[in-house]
Amino acid sequence: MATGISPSQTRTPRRPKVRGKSQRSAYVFLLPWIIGSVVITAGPLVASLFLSFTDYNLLEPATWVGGENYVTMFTADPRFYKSLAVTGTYVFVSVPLQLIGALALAIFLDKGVRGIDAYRSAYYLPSLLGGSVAIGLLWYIVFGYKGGFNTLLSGLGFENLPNWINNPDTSLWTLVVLNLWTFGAPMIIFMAGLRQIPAELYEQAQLDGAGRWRQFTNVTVPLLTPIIFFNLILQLIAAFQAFTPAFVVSRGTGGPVDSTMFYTLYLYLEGFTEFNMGYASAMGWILLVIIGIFTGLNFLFSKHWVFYND
Amino acid sequence: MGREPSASAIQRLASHNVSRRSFFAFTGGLVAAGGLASCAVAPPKSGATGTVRFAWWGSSERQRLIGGYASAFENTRDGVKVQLEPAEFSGFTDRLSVQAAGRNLPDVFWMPANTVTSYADSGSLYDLDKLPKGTIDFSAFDTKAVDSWRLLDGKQFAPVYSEYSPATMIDRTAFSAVGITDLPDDEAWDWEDLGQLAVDYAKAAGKGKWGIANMAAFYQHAHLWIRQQGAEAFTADGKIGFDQAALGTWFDWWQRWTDAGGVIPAAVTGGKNQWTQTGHQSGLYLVQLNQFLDSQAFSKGYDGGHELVLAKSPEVAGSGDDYHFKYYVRLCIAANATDPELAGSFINYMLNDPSSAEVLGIASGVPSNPDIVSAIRKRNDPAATKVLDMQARIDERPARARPEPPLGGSGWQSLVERAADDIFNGGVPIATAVQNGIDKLQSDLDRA
Amino acid sequence: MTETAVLSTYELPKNDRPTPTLKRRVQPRRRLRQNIKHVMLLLGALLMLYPILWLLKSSITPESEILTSFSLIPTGFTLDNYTNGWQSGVGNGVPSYIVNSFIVAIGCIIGNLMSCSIAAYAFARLEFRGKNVMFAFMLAGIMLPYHVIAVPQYVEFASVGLVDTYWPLILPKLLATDSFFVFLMVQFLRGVPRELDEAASIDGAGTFRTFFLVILPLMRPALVTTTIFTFIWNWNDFFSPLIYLNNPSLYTLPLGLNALVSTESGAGLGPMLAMSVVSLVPIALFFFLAQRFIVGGIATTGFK
Repeated sequence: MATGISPSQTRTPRRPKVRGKSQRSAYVFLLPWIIGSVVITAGPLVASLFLSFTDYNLLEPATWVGGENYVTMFTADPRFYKSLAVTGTYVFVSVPLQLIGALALAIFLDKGVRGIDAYRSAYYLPSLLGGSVAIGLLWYIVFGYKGGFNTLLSGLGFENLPNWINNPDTSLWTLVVLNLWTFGAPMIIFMAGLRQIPAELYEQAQLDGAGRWRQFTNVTVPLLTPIIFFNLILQLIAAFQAFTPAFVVSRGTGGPVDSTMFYTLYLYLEGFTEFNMGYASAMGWILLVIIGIFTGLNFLFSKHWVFYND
Repeated sequence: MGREPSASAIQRLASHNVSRRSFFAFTGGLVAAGGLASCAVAPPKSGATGTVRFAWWGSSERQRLIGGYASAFENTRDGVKVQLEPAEFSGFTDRLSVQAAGRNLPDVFWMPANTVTSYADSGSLYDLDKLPKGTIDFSAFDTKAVDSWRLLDGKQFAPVYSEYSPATMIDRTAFSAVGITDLPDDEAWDWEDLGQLAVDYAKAAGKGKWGIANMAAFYQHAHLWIRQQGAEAFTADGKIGFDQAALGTWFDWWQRWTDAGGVIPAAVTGGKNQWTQTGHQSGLYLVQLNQFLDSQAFSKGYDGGHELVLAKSPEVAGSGDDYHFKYYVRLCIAANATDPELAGSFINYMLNDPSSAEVLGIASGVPSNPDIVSAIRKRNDPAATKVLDMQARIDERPARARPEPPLGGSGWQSLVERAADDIFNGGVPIATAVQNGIDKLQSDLDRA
Repeated sequence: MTETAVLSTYELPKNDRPTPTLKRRVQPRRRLRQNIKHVMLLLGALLMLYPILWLLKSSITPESEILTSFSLIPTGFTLDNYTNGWQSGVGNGVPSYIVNSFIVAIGCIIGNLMSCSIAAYAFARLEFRGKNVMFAFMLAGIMLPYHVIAVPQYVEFASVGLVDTYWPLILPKLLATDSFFVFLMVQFLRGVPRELDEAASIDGAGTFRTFFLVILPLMRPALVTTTIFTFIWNWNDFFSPLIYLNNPSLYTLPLGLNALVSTESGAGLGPMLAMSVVSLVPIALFFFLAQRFIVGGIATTGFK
């Protein structure tokens, strides 16, 4: 390759497997994680799997019901499908938009702009509010009947504007916007990733006469793929599990008319409001399988587009 | 649990509390095996320390008031400590159910009406009749009232600490400002009068104002409506006590007066409909009496102060007279309490200590103890007097029994809320929305 | 063998972030482009900040006027919301909630930095049996929604008497259960050329010395990112503190914040908004300071 920094050239041949001492030290490094996995993660994981086959109302001992929860879910619960559809829409719309926005802005801000600290902070600030109780009110202020968004639109001549949050056709989209609004988290990770790219690779590229676009496609993008991949996985899992936005904005109801009934919100309502924790656990495991499939597929495909330097 | 019994070993394991515990003890044991238990900084919870863990709900102001009062219990007995565990209502119920699952409930806690039967039935609550006689002194109370608090075969699990009824609140200043000074007589008015008043106010106040927010989702008022129809949320034997028509007419009323221009469309308020929330777009509010203090305090800061008056809820023309009712805040002792007797005397303190009149007043509704109520009256606080007067007017009227929601009936509140949401935000026909809700509630009851 | 010795093999001509193509452009055109850039960034920032500016404005607005005014121009001025909010709460009140939030957040940061970095190193660089299975299990652990895990985990912590302590909040971090961060660090490490640790091991440094002297300094952007996120997420976390902390003297800020608005009457908006601002200040400051360490990543430090 003309720039001399094609990914394949920096990749080194596979090392022979290290054994014995290295294997031992690996386990030493992993020790806290192994303890944590067994004690903190595995126990509740197994317990929740067990509970998913029971009728468990939190107050009384669980009663074994076999696969009944799973059967009910797939055969007799329209809200289950509704919540899947709501979460699915949310994931597939907001994750790509958020990642593209975050990446574009990270690259934009990575180049020398005056006042970069201030911009970065301004764009990041919304993420800090995250799931704060204040969000419920702030979103009402933005998308309510007399909210900022409607003020803007009526200034542009639009009339008969709805309360976007309380309209079943638009409420989910206000949550998508909320997710986009907090794109600061992936943006910061992208920025850290951009900073991880060794400067001499750009220098070499320049020496080889690569322009800015070539530098971008031949250096920035390939070297950033592990981080893009990470952000994709992170945002995917986070969006599938999204709970707080719907909870605070819909005041815990998933309304209007179930239009913001996220999967995890439905799960929470079943578990904690309806005292139906067995069913909620079953829902949890279905979600685990769904996320697992998407994550697994991503890992499979990652071999084709993610470039590792090791 | 009404399921076909099967002899599988796992079922027997799972059905036994002890077995389930040992299942968790397995993972717990791993924690200990990891040598991590030594990190524990918490003292082991034992009865010997004489600590009462007390949990209740409320906003931060009520947390402060009740926390102060509860702590003063330490002065009444040597060596007794009260550990306060307050939370806001939504968090409170979540935490309570997790604690129940972990058999780690506080010693004494408040219990909302909707879930008291579920907790009692599951064995999470201590039967207060088992306490030594006289631990809790009910002598100030009407015996009939005390007996009416009993649940599940007449056991005293949860005496009532405070109570409140639904009522209507009128912003008199707002009404005067638009030239309406002649308010209806609330001893004689019915829902049609309220609807007309809302329309009158909306017309007089002009664009961007309405008479009342859409409060169709307010389940306590829906309950009132149902009782005025001669029906009940639940019958004494735990069945659904109303049909589609009884609740459907409630939503009809809201639809009719929305069409007439008296009610703020749901789309405008988006569920924010209390005096503190509507941005003063209306002059009428449906309330529970224990919301009045907050509204009163809030009104002082607005526009030089607004005068809020309480009115009795309107009637349905031709409704009987015994529909009046009260909701309860109850006090419970956990079945796992370390020292039930100490917990019992704490409940006695909460119910009977005269200082409550001064320290708490009506911070969480009207106290159930008549002596405390008269002591509060003597203090002549204007807002408290308004609330007490209204409660007294309601109490004078006959009130037929109001059975608490049975096991599996805690979803009755969400039935009203979801139906209102479906109808006013989703355009679902009233009959369909109500019938769906009733079907869902019925299946919850069947499951439990 | 020292860090500089390793890095010296990579010493290259010193240069800042290269933008030579820009230098070749004609100056006026560049200035125009810069100005357009700034206008766009400013507009974007204003849009992003509108809700937060409204939050700031409303926190100094009398409570009864908050919901009547959607604009950013204050209609009145009062500090009541701040004083009422600050004096609210049980136990030792808001100041102690802030201290407690710091204790939890710092405990979690220390836990995540230590445990996740070593686990990530093992996953990214060392060979051991069962690696793929363990990595998959690690990710599976974060795929189950927390509300399903919460009850069994609570039962577990309650059975060893750790409820009403900070351990249920901090211990999981000390044991690397925040798998997101392990994964993040793995991804970062895989972007660091292996030649670096190989050079170290040729020079005789063992696995541990390589990790501490070579790898850890190179992971700085990932470590800072982890620090920022751990701080913010745990600072804002509500559900875990709610179920594990019963005693008000242990309460964190979100618990206090949540209690400010009454579910029953809706009163308390003003103090809630004011305390939301108070809660925002530490994380905003923290971010502002910490982001500089991300910017000074490998590109401008290690490889100069």
